[in-house]
Amino acid sequence: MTKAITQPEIHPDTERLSAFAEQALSERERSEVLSHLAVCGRCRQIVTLAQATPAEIAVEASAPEMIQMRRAWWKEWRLALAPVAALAMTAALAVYFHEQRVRRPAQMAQANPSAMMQNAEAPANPSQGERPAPPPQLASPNATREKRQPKPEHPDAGAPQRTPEMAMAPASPQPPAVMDRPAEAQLQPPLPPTPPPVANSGFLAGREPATYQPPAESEWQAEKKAQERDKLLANPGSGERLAAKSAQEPQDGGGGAPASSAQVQVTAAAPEFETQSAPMTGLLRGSQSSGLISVHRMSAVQLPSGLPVVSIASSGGRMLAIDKAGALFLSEDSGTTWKRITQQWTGRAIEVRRQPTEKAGADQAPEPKAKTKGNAPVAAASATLPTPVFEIVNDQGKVWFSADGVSWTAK
Amino acid sequence: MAPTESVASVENAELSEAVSAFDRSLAEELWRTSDAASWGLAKQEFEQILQDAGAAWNYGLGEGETATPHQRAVFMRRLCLADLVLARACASGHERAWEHFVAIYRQPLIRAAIAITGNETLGHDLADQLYAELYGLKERDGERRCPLLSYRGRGSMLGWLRTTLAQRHIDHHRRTRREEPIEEFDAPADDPPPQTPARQLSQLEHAVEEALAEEEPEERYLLAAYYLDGQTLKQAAKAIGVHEATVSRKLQRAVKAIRKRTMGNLQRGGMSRRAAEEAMGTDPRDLDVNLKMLLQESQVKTFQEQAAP
Repeated sequence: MTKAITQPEIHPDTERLSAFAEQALSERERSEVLSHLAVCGRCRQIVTLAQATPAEIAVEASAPEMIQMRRAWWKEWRLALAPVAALAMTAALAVYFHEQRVRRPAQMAQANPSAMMQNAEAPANPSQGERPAPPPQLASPNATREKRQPKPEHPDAGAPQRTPEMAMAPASPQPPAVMDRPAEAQLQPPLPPTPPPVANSGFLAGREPATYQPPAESEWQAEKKAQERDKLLANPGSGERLAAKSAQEPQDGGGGAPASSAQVQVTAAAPEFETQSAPMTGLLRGSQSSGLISVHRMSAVQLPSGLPVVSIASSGGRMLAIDKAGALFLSEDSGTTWKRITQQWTGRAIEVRRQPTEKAGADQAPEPKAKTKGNAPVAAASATLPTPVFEIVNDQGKVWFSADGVSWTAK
Repeated sequence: MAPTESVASVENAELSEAVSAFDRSLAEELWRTSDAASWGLAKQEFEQILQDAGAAWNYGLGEGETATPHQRAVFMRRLCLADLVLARACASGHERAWEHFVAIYRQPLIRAAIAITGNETLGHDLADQLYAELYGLKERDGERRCPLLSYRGRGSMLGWLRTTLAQRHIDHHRRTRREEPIEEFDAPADDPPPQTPARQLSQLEHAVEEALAEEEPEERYLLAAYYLDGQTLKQAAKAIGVHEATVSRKLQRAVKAIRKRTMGNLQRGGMSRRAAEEAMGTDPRDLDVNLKMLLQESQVKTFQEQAAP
């Protein structure tokens, strides 16, 4: 029997028991302690209680981290500031890029207005250079139209009057040159090839430039013009404004509206409107004095053939329209009912217009102005006009004219 | 002095000088690695601490054995020197060492005290009491005594603190149990007289005691922890650092061996096999009480208190 059993009153000291619990004793020492423990309930209890509980072990395992957190809590905050700063920087960059994206067309227009104008107008009307420049007094009121008259001598002359929205309207269908973009703009994805639709239809209007719908937009613009003229016609007191507006139509119609000319290239309806708008400009100048409506939405006209309208002309309540197959239709009630006209010309009719000789009567502006100033009814004003003469052009360029739209004579 | 004695003394002097040189070089190496200089411990102080620890433990050897330089080196390298130098620095009143000690061990000390007592209030009281003692507020023979001086680095500082807390708690519990008022003491009913004759019972106790004595210390500890203290297999296994399945197998083997040896002891004491088997069928509660009295009676005075100057 060992000494520990015979003398259980001699307890191992604290460090020995601690070392035993931690398996740090030699085999001989361990055996001695075990011999004592076998007969000493007190030391067994001490050894049992001295063992760390699982909860304590878990806490001890995380204790160094807790100590570190207590010591360096501000460092933890400093670490947390890094992602916050990155987030703030990202937000600032996003706002900045958005601002740059909005301002870039304006900056480009200021930097190289002639190139902008060429880019905007070249696909719309390649023969723009042949057209005579409009009178200065007519070009000045609208800054958007002003941009369409490049001034190489003073390229920045009109820039201060432009707003970013104005500059966006005639945006080039081609992506802008990289050299004109700010340095940070190179990080942005390139602009989509289609231009923004019109002014005020971008971010602030809640519309995304990518969702641009050219056909709807051209329809909207044509409808707006028609409504505008309806309003002016219904209000004879605004004859002066109508005259001024009609006088601008050569720019609008000849070159195609800057916005619509760039937009309608991808649509089928828009080119039809262009073919009509060019000859209509002269008629409008003449009809200004008579107060007749000369513009109609071709897309709103439903011909008996069911085919789309390619050309349309009107005078008073009489309208003539050519469908896609070249058939001519006449309406006596402003497009409500249509009657097909027997073909009396050769080839395929592609265009109907009012005879340019009407311009002579239309140029007598003072007389109709006086009439419209007197708030005379529209019917009375139209009664004083000469009988309108229509012309149709076939696919070979030959022209036929008619006074009533029913019987046609070769010109 | 005879010539042979003078030669032997010269050889011993050379050997002790070589040993001292080896110990000094080892002590210097350990002094650097333990970062003792940061706590203001000089090399000489550190060497003295190592020598004291080695002498107190006899380098992990039995009484009368002399440690070789290799055994000394192994013993010293296994010491928890970082904790040891910290404990000595705290005991000597090094302020920065105390700050470090508090930062490292204050919270674990409280958590361990709460776990030992099973009560947060008692745990805080126990931890505060020990902390005050560690700080040297207790005087002995007119001199402030810091319990940290008794720590010699065999185990970790945290293990030593935890064992100290457990020791204080068990001793306090035993003292207060003895001081329990007699009017509140609910005495159990007297045990009925044993059915087994007293002589046969005495033979049985003697045979069991001999059989237990022949068991290995580890098996005896496991038997006592499992059957007397009611510890679980997991608790007993953790104390000796084995798996609980190992403890289960050890217990089964130990019980079988003790039964076999007890039968043999009874037969050797003059009992027939049948009488021995009848004696083995004695109510175990009678034997249990005797075993408890045999194994659990012990004095409270600890070896540490005896050894303390």
